[in-house]
Amino acid sequence: MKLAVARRNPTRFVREQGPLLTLLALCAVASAVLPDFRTWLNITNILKQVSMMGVVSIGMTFVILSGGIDLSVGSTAAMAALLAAKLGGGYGPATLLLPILAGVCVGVANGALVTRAAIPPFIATLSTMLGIRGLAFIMSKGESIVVEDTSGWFSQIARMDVLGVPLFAVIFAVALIVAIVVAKYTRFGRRVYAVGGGEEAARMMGLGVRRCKMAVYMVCGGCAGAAGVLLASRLNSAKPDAAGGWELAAIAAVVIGGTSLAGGVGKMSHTLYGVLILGVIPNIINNVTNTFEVSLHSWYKEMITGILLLAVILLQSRARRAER
Amino acid sequence: MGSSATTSTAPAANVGRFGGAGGWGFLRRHGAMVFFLVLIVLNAFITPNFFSCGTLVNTLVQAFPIVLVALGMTMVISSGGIDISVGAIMAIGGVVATRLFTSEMACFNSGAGLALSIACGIVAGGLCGLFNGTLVSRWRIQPIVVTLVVMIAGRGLAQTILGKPVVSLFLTPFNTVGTYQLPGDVPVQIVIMLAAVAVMFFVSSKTVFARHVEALGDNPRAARLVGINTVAVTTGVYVLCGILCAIAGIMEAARTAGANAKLLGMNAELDAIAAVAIGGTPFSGGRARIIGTVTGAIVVQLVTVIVNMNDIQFHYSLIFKALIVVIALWVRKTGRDRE
Repeated sequence: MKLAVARRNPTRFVREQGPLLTLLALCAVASAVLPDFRTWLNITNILKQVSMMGVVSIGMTFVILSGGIDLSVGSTAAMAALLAAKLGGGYGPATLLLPILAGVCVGVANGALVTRAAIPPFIATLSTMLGIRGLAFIMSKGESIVVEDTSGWFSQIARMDVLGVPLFAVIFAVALIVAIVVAKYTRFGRRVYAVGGGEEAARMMGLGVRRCKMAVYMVCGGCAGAAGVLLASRLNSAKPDAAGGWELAAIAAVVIGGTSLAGGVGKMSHTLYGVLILGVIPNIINNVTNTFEVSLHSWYKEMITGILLLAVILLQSRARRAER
Repeated sequence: MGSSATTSTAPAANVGRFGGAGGWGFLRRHGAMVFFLVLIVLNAFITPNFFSCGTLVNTLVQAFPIVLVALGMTMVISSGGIDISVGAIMAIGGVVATRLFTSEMACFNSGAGLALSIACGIVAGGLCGLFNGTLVSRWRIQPIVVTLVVMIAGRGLAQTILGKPVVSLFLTPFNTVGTYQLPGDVPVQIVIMLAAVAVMFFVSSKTVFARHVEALGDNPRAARLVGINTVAVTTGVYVLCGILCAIAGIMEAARTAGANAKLLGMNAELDAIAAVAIGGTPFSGGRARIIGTVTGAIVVQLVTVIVNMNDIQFHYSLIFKALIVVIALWVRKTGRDRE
């Protein structure tokens, strides 16, 4: 069916599948030029790297689909990571649940600021971003917290494989599939699209706009909390200044995936492509550095990411216009 | 259009002694000033030597980049946009000037070369703004997406231009620009700041350009239909913001005697947006409150001063800033509802 679309209406195909095409092109060129890129070890490495970012991006996609934005995810993840590292697996499932719950609480604060105090989401979550980051520093007295029992099950989360695939990637994949189903087939998911597409219309149809928005921020906070737990497990420690810039990376991933920041338009599944594109770029740069023995400074990563982001966005905007 | 004029001359019937529904209306209109006075009083009690001239002057000098960037941000926000690339543009401006000044080329080494390199830095900032503005207005891409791209790529670009992590400007003529004091021990930053505020106040209250910006922020479609050249106005706003950011970046590099492409202007967007929020410019666009923004910027800096000078951990300042922004916006909403 998709191929039929491609034949009938190429610009529409490029717009809808642009992120996937970009990802495939990147991977094809990289595998052709860099022998190290196509090894299983490298691929599992990329998957491990992107799954934390991916979990955050899932929550971010919900928020952006509802017409909002959440800048506090990085701070929330840092706070959750500190909590998880402190508990360190000594308390059974509480190690996992408490940080996620803390993330949900941040989501409640965001939701309350947006729906009750009527503060624009950008500013509301900017405030919680600053506030939670401060809290994280105070919680840890500005120092990093190390997981005490590094041979325990908590540290093994990051090192375990399921049938050769890292557990991290499996967690991300399961979360993504659940999110896709929720966004597409549940009442909540459709409400999110309705609220993002037109808040006034959604209100008049009797959809609980406030409750929907509150729920969306809670989901996003929970996702950020979960990502923080994964981060702590991977590093065996947590720093209060960890996860800086995650909010921008998550927003970038969602935007590259073609979801409109205006809300109501986009696909959860396409966020995956955005996440993978952002994960593949630094990996390619590293591989280029190793293979050709040139020294590419880390700052090229930022520039190339930015330029690629721009290319995808321009492509989408052109395709949208050509369609009209 | 003209919304700023209508609020200042609100119908006398429902204006209480302080304007609006009792205290809420007053707080809503003058929230930034109240915060400012509260912080001054608080500082007077808890900060040692706060009222010494040196402290006050220092506070203003340190608030300089926030004020300049926030002024540009105010115009962008009142046009219905947002610019989160201001920190990166500060870095680009500062780095371009530094790189040219420290380069081998003869034309940049003389006294006039210093002026030339600073001018080039400012032009670089303007070009970044031009890029932002063109993509927002001509290509119709959302401002937050465009400036996100510039924020990410610009920081990398600044590091590439500089070529090394840090370039020292210690005891060079460039450094003296940042530490120069006019007769009467007035730092040059204060003069530039006053000039910038005066110019922006004049622009925002007296010029057609500002009317067009506010019209655009109020209702872009209506603005286009009445014949406003929205492309030019939007581009102009972003260019203005870019130039102000570049000046802030260059002066910071000069004052701190070194350009660090990674740290210069870091988190400037957060401080600037906080300043605009405290100052009372609505984020839905359509109105620019210059004096409010300046007060807001100084409030943001005062929080830092309280925390620094009383040996409180830096991290508390983040929480204080967040609280002030939330309270400011909540008060404004409650004031609006009561009215």
